[in-house]
Amino acid sequence: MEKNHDILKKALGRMKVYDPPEEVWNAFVKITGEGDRALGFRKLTVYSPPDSVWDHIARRLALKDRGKGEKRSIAILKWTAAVAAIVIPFVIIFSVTGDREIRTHYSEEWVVMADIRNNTSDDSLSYHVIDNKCRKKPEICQSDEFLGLKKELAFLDNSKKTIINRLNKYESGKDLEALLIRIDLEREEILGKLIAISN
Amino acid sequence: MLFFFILAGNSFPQVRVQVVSREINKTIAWKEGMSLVVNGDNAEIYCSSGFHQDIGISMTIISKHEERTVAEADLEKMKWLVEVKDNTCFVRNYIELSRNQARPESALKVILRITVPADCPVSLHNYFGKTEISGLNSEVTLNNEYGPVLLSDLNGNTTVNSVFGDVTINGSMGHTRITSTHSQIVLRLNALYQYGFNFELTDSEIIKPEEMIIIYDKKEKGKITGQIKGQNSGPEISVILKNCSLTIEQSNN
Repeated sequence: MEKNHDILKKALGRMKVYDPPEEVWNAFVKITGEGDRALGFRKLTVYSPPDSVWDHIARRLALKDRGKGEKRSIAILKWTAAVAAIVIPFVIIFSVTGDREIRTHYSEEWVVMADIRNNTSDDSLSYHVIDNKCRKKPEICQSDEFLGLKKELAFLDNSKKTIINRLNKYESGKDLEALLIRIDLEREEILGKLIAISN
Repeated sequence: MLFFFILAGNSFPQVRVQVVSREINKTIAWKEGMSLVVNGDNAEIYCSSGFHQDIGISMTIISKHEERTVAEADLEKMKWLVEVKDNTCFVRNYIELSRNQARPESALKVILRITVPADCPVSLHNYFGKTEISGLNSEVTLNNEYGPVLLSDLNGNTTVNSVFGDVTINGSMGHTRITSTHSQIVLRLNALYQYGFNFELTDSEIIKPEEMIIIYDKKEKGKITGQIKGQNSGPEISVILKNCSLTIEQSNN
């Protein structure tokens, strides 16, 4: 047990108590990974420098009383360092997140994983049929109507890719999935028209 | 036991995700002539008229991932900007990757709530996200891709360009121009018969009350141009649509 326990306890009791703002506690939770502050404090790193460091500090301070006094000073320094170890990170955290206009929050939630692989359809057969017909009757595939439909199909294919790239397994994306269904229906309609024209 | 396996096989997998969110609040002093320009990416944008003579911006960036460190790192990739330059207030969010930085794995979303004085002109571009604008008397321009749009009571001149973004208009509107492809457009208006409509519809369908008579200028395969005369010189609504559906109905409010 610390020899100067009572003196230090009294001294610490006279120290001013500051209630840090919410941002500091949020950052504290972030660092410790504990929602419970008491558990979080236990996770703070405790530094115990070797005695040689304390001896060096004591020598530099040129304490007059090198007996009992030196031990007391070292003990006070230890407590000061301990308090500083707790306070300094808070000061740093506060200086980083201290802008009252910006706050960071942490929480957890359960989500249903979205199966984004389901959104790819295989139309290669339809494209193959159209390409074959166009090779046989190239003049039909040069018509304005045919080219217009092909352009529209390319636009839909591109849009579909863009949407699929935006899907994320942690987000339901129901609006986007509904859009994909709409695009697929439009694509099927256009593919049908293209096949009909090229026949 | 067999029942358990069947049940497990049919259920969607659930995971616990870490949600890291950052909230940014800004208030910008507004003066006559100042406009607002918003650029959203993966953002839900709610813009409405406020009670104060300033622009209030509340932006929440949300990052979700199974691992907190990944969610945190991805949150930093979503950048934001609020600045005033030459009498224009710019609000923007965008993903920025430094060299060799991977694209975000987390589900990233931004919720942007903006209040402006009713007379503040607004220009808004949203890409992949819901957009709602209401209660303004100023000029509003909206460019929207891949997200639904809800507009209510915009009494100034309004221009909407939308691609793959359903547009619903409620209440009363000033002069309005809608250009859209691959969208469902619903006009649910108060005092419907005061509005004049101009149409240019390509491969699009129109659903309207029977009493509204379209005067066709041109009606050919897949293309209709025409108009509906409004009563009492009410506001004009111009609609240019391709591969869309248009529904016009009287609002019940």
